Amino acid sequence: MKARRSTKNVLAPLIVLVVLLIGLELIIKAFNISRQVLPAPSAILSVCAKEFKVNIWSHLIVTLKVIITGFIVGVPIGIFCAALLSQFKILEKAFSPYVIMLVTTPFIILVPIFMLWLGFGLNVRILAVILQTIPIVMLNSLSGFNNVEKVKLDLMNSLGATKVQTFIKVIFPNALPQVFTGIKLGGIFSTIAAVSAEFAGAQTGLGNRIMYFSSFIETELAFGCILIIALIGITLFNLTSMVERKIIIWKK
Amino acid sequence: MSNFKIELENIEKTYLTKNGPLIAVTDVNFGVEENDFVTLVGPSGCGKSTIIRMLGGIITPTKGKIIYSGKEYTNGIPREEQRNLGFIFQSHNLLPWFTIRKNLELPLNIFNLTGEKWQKSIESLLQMVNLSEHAESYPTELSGGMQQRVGVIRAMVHNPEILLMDEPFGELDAINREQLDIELLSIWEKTKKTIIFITHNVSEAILLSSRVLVMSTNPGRIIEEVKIDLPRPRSLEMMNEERFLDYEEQITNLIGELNLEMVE
Ligand SMILES: Nc1ncnc2c1ncn2[C@@H]1O[C@H](COP(=O)(O)OP(=O)(O)OP(=O)(O)O)[C@@H](O)[C@H]1O
Ligand SMILES: [Mg+2]
Repeated sequence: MKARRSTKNVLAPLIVLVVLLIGLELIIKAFNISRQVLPAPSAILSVCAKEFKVNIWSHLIVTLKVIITGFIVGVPIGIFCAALLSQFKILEKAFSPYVIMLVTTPFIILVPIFMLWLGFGLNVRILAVILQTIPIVMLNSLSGFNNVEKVKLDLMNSLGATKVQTFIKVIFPNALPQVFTGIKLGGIFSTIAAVSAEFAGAQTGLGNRIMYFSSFIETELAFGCILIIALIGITLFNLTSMVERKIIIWKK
Repeated sequence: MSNFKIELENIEKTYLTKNGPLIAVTDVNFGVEENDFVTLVGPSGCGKSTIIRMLGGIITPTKGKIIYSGKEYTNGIPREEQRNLGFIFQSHNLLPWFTIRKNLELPLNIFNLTGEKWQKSIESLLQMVNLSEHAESYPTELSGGMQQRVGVIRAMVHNPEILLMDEPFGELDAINREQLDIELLSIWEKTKKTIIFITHNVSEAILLSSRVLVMSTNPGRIIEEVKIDLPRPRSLEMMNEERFLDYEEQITNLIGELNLEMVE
């Protein structure tokens, strides 16, 4: 029963993808659309497969490094800051308006300034990813930490529990669904931030390659990179969902 | 000095609400002897939960004293004293992210009680309510009655002398509730805890307790104490006896008069 559902979950979107690709292929062939406008899926696949080792692989590694480092650093910081804010109402009052502001700030606009401080290495991009990830993780976690049933706090009060005990036993586990929503969005924000930072100023990474390939009208490769980035985002999202299902076993 | 286990002296609680201060209960004076079973009944909003929450140290009285075994507290109940209390909530109030066993370990963790002895206490309580097989289940996998049983024994794992029960079976249907009432009575006979029990079900109050304190609203206060002179052990059959029905009529009338007053 469960196995059947999970194959359905994989199969259904896969069929959509295949139909979409075949449809696209047919339309491009039928209307004779130029490869400069929109390359055929088959062409993207064959060109990318050929060029992958030489022209894509090393850039993919760079981008992955930036995304994953930023994500792994940003997520715990976001959760930790949310925890602090939720437990000290003064902090929350003082900072929560800025959290929302930071969520909507595209940190890529600061990349040129970061470069003045940190040079041209990966650190600039990693910093941009961290800064973009923290607020969205924080915002969601915070709403989770604040959204706890009063009777559960009463229970802890009736036992004379300390603030830390109450946080560990009740507030944190209770907030996990929302924390995970934050982490999933954090993965998406990390990906977007990494690629846009590469757009803003970098000689490496998939974001940079898209511009590079486009400038040489290598549309197949450019589209290939776009698809790989999408794939990274989806994978990160699904991995987080998987961990979520492993951890939140009490909600079925 | 009195020989009360629990005593309330001139207790008053004022809540600060949006519409200004609200006196929830005032002039609350009563005592409960060791091993006694006392019930509070009264209409909704009369302040039953307010009183028992003050006793449990969840909220602090605005005025007055709470005295546990001769120790006076005017400013809330300290943790050392809470160690001696077991609070049972209206909804089972189990933590859904913990298994039944983990839920039962919660008070042990908070009160820092480690060792074999306490684990054994969990096992024997589980056995007592016939839930040993469900130790590793999650609360959602249990029926309402089972969840409530776990809620009751969770308040007992640290072996407190006093149980504070705020409408513990209020969300169960009549048959389940009576079943649990009987189980509670047998637990009480065995363990000889001191119990304060809240309900708005008059016959439940009579069935369980040796004294029923009747409350009224606006402001909440205790207006009458009815001693229940029925033999123990009590059984469900007693509920049809004349004496039982007399008590029921007496208390219902008391509450009914209050409601009439309120309408006027
Ligand atoms: N935290 C609170 N803040 C403000 N007012 C409160 C609060 N808790 C209770 N009250 C008010 O105090 C009064 C007594 O409430 P309480 O919950 O003690 O009643 P109760 O007798 O337990 O009622 P019920 O039978 O419905 O559970 C009510 O008028 C209620 O609105
Ligand atoms: Mg109540």
